[in-house]
Amino acid sequence: METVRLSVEERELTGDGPSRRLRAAGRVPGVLYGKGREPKSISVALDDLRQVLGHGHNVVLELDLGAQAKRGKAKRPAPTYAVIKEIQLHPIKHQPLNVDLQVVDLAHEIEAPVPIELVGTPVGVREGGVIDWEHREVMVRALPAEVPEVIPLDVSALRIGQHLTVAALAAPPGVTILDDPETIVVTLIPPRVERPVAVAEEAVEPEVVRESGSEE
Amino acid sequence: MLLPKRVKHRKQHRGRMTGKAKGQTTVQFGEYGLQALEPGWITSRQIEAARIAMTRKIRRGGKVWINIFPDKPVTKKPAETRMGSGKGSPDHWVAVVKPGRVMFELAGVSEELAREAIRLASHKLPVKCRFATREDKGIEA
Repeated sequence: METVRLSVEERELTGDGPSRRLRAAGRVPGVLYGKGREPKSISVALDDLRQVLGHGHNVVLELDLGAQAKRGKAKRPAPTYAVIKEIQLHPIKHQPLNVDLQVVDLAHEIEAPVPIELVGTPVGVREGGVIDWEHREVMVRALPAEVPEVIPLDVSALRIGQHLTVAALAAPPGVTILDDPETIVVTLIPPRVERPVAVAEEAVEPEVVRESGSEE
Repeated sequence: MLLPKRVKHRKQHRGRMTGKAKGQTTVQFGEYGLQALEPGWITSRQIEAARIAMTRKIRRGGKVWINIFPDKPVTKKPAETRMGSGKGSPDHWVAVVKPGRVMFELAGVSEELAREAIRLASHKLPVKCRFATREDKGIEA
């Protein structure tokens, strides 16, 4: 996992209205939580968050907590590290609405979802097959700094009708894959055969399960 | 055409279409999708027309998902009938779609072909739509 700096400001006002005003001012409300500490309401600049997301979802954040508040202090506190636990996005604009940050200890293992990346073109694709994903991510356990960006899966030998399971994934050293090894990751399905369009398909009225006496 | 096998009541109220889609607002199964930008009723005929437009364009290969189902009956009175005498009889089925809903998904084709197939499908639908991809994760402005 890459380490990226992110400045975070604590916020006192919570709820719909203050959060909406924050978003209008170009900031994203969020929450910072972790083991053995009280949850804290925070906000981050939208541009900074977009930059972080550009590095992928699996990044370790070095948080700059209350950058303005501690400007006067000479002594710099120990850095706080966190990972992005969840991001709520606007359903149409896909703009971050809220961000959940979880404080992590770099010396302790965490569990995180890691995307699977297919390597190579399957033999079956040249024969007309279509790659059908079953699972695009696997859960792994590793030290925060060692969680990989992606886990590669070589599919070049895959033929139509064959599949690959989690067991075929090669975890990097220090990373344990937690998912069931028999879980199917990807299948190569045969090409779709276009069926002739049904001629004047009559819309039959469906059966009514239980019609109440008062109806009609 | 899509329609329910069994229903609890033959007729329904029209209802309201306020707010945005609560789920299925991102591409989840395929690589590309067709996302609604305004609310509307999509009839089973329109869904079928969009599906056919898409599958004809991509020909062999590729996979199409339909994420909406027309489970709402719409009634209609016969032509030249005077008003009154109760609600009409069920005529067709619609899916209620709210802004943000990814209605169709595609996989196994190039982005260029997917864009064209989805553009053709969007012309069959009564709502404004846009092309959505799996990578829409809040990074772009």
